[in-house]
Amino acid sequence: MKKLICAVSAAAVSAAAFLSGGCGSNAEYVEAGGSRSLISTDKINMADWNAAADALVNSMLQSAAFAKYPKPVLIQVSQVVNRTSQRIDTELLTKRITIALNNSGVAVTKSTDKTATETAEYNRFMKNQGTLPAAQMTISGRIIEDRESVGRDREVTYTFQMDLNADGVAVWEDQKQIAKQETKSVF
Amino acid sequence: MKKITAILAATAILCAWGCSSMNTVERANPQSAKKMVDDKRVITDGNLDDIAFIAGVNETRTPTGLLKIQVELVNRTEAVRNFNYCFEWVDAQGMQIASPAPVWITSAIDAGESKYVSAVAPSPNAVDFRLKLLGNVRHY
Repeated sequence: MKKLICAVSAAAVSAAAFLSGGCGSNAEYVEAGGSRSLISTDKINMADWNAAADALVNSMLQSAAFAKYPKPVLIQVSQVVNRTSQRIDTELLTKRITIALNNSGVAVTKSTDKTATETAEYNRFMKNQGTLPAAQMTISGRIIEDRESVGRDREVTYTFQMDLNADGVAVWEDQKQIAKQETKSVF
Repeated sequence: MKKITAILAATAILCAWGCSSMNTVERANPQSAKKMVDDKRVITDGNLDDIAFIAGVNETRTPTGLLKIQVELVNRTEAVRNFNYCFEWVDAQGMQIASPAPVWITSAIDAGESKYVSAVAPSPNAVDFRLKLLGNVRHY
């Protein structure tokens, strides 16, 4: 009888522990795109966006593209073409780049906000000034996806290409490739 | 006996596959003149210091006047490893320049490989830097 009571008690305690564990949340904060953020071969993860933007900004800032222009250079973000299988927001790449360029003092970004543009145009009109200055440089790019699989191994490579154009000439071009591999489970 | 032979053979194959190490060649008398940085290191993880040993730090300025730091890392282990690194920048008043936020980059380094990691300061106000290194913390 004692054995039965012990077994029932143990089962009840285990069930309670299992249920309380199942009902609770083990969510915790991690650094966005940081060393502990999740990565997968299914999509461009936040760590990939950060790494690509960081590499492209570093390359852009150490090039001589901006050197012959008086600082800050007025730039405008043009189109970043998405040639991947995913629906993505390319501002995750371009915004980080323009933030870095603005902070560096090398370039300022021309606003694309309708209200900001209309206000600036109105103020210039009232002061009898001309139209808003055109951007001296434009940024454009492409994101390309390539998938490969051998047996249970899968690999995806994302190529982030970017160019900086002035007077119709690409004064700087670079690309960052990020590849991820994964071995799929048998089950 | 057959089992032991099979296990030994498998171990040898695995070792041969996993222990491939990198050979390099370069000019005996380099023509480049690096501006080396005197560095101060805080090593709390000895294993990581073998995976990404800091062989040297040098600096330069970009054409637009921004500080650029390059760090040479050497994998002193006998296997390819992943590690994470992050550059932080500090202004003349000792305040961290936190915009854009520092980015952790994951990188792979082969056995015996010497690899450069570099970064350009995000602001002309940056005068100092700190490189943080972390082992592979993604265990899945």
